[in-house]
Amino acid sequence: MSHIQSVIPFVPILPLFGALVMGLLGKKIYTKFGENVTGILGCSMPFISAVFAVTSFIAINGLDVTERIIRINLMNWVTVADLQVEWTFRYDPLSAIMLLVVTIIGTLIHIYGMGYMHGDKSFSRFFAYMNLFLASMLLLVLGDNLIIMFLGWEGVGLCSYLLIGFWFSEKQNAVAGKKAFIVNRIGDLGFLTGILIVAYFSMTLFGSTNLSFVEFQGNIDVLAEQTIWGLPLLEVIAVCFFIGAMGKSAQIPLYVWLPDAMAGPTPVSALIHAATMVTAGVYMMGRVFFLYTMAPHALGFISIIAALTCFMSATIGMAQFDIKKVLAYSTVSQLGYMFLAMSVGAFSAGIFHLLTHAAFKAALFMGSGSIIVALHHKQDMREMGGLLKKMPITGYSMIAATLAIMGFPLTSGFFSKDEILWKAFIQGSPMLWLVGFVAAGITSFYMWRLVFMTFFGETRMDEHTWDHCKEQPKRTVVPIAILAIAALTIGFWNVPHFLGGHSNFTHFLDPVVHDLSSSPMENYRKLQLIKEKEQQSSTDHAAKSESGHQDASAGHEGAVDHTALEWGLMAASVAWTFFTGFLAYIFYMRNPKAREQIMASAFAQKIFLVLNNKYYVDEFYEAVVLTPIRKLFDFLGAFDGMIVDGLVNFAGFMGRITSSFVGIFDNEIIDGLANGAGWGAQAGGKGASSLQSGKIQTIIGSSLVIFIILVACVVLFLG
Amino acid sequence: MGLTGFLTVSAALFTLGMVIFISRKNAIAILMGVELLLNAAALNFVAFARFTPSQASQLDGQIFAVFIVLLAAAEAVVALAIALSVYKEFHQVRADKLVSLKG
Repeated sequence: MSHIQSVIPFVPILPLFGALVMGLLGKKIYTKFGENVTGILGCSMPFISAVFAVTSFIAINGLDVTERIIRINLMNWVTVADLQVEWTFRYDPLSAIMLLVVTIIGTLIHIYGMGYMHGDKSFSRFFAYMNLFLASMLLLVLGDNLIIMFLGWEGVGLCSYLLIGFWFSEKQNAVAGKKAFIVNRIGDLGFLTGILIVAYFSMTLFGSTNLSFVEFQGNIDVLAEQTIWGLPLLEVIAVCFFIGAMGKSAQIPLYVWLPDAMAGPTPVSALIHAATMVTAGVYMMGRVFFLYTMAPHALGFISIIAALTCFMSATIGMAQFDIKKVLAYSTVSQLGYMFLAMSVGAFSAGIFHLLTHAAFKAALFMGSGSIIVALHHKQDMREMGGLLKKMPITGYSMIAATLAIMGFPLTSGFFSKDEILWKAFIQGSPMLWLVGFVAAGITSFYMWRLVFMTFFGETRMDEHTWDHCKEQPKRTVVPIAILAIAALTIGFWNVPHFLGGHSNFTHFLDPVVHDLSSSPMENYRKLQLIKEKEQQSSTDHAAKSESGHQDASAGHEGAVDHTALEWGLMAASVAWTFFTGFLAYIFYMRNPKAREQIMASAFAQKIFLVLNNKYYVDEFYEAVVLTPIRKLFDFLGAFDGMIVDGLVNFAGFMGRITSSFVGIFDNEIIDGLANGAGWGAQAGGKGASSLQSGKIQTIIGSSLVIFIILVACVVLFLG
Repeated sequence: MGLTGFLTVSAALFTLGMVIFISRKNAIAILMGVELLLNAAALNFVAFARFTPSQASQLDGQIFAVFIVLLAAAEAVVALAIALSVYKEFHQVRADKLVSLKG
């Protein structure tokens, strides 16, 4: 048994154990041993998991490329007739990367959480939920079949709800948690529908199914020929899965919960709502990339949604003043980039952006959390400024992360975002590229706006706060610094060919995820051609279709040399982000008057108002979805009150009348009969008892008389 | 002397016994009536045995008579014992006063 097989099962189990301990005994530990012991205990399980994840990662790098998919079967789970779901973990390059992201960032944020939650009375509950979240997320990542993945999927949703509403005594937080939960539920319904469709078709076509990804991939060619509701089956499944991703990964129209989710503690925002949970949708798409390869129309739909999300939320981010809200909209926007990459078939680019985004967005959130604590829970950027002097480590870390997110050359965001934009241009359409390109500039603008408003210029806070604000303790700032360094350097893992690199990251993912070499539509047509040829040339198509996949997805031959174009686009986006960053510098640092002048015009005011109110999407939902639903409920309530209650009351009234009739009948007739029977028996008994005189001679005499009569009868009538 | 003479005596005995049984109030006298009834029956058996045409069962009726005599002796013993017990309990043996079994 190799190292990987022995340690991987513990990676999700340990945090689960930690959650149990913290949840059941945390309060006692907290009161008996104090905050530090509780915190260290809470961090220990994620830390061990992280160690296991790193050692497994090293181990998998030592394996031959063909042996890098490791399935660890623990036990049977659901065994019902055709459905044979096993409790199996799958460790391959894709889940290896996700494990690294989840456990390392998770551990850092747990440590950071010790500082952030200092003095909170629900200290142990926080760690219980966080551990539970890690367990669920790792389950999601490691699951070898759709059911286990869905289990983790629901688990992270639950933890997200619990942690958003962590300070539930304030109504606003509880409402935000509820909103996140309900919106996620809509998405989950889509995902579940997809899974059920897969299960149904697998069972009817192949007799039995275990819903594992391997089986799903093996069956994909057969499934591709099926239709459902008159539509191609795979397209429907792909869209269903994407609806799930929409909810979890906050895409239009289900993104509204994510900005509100900022009501939770900042470590939660960093871990769940920036680095890990919200990227579950991207991970899921990467996991079932073979499905999306066969569903080009679904990808087209996704690309539109992704580009819209990316652009819209970036523009909203420009007009927010709450520091966490800016970052939240930025997250939505970056998730849009990831889905953009997925939708043009650049799966590895999307997952790489997931990785880099996890690093820099977690750093940004943790930095903002550090500021929020230092300012006694003030989040409005208009009341900040000049903080770099007071909080240097936080400040420089955040600036580093900002450089990464804007795509400053050679930082991680530069490599990942550039790859996405390039793929969107060459495999999608120039329109997609343009939207992404504009959004990249806006990203740079709002991020620098955040940095300038927070760390530079004159301070705008009151003196008391200014005097009291200071750099946070080491347990808070060191994790931020570590992530900031990662955000700067991690990009070198995937240096593209035209910059002299080898796309190591993409090749690392090769055993599990194949990028498309052309646009999804073209790729799909190519696959169809290959299939037709096979059917003509050979009868043994089972083995061939396997190789057909690889031909279509791995083939780079005959590609035109695009190096010049690639350079050009890259230079354009760098110049554009520099320009918008500089614009932020002018507006918020050097010459605020210019901004005020522009903002003074009525037109600019209108735009600002629209953006500041988030395009009135919440109001739109309120008017279009919630109000009608409430009206429907009111109507149903009235219906219930009048018609249903009326019927019930009428039925009750009728019952009373009938029963009073029955009562009379009962009293007079039934009781009369019963009494009559009793009375008759009594009278008869009295009569009969007088025969029993007790006088023996009477008895004998009457016997004699009866005997004589009987004999007389016998003689007269029978004789 | 034919069978009829025997049956006539037997019927007279039976009637006497029955009249005594019903009319007398003393329990001992009632028992005497019962003896008469039994003897009437025994006389009938013996008479029918004497006049039966069957050669195979000449003695059946005689044996029945012997049994009835034995039965009468046993009856007298038990009945007199009951009479004694009744006397101990009620201090009299008048049949029309012993009405504890009245329903």
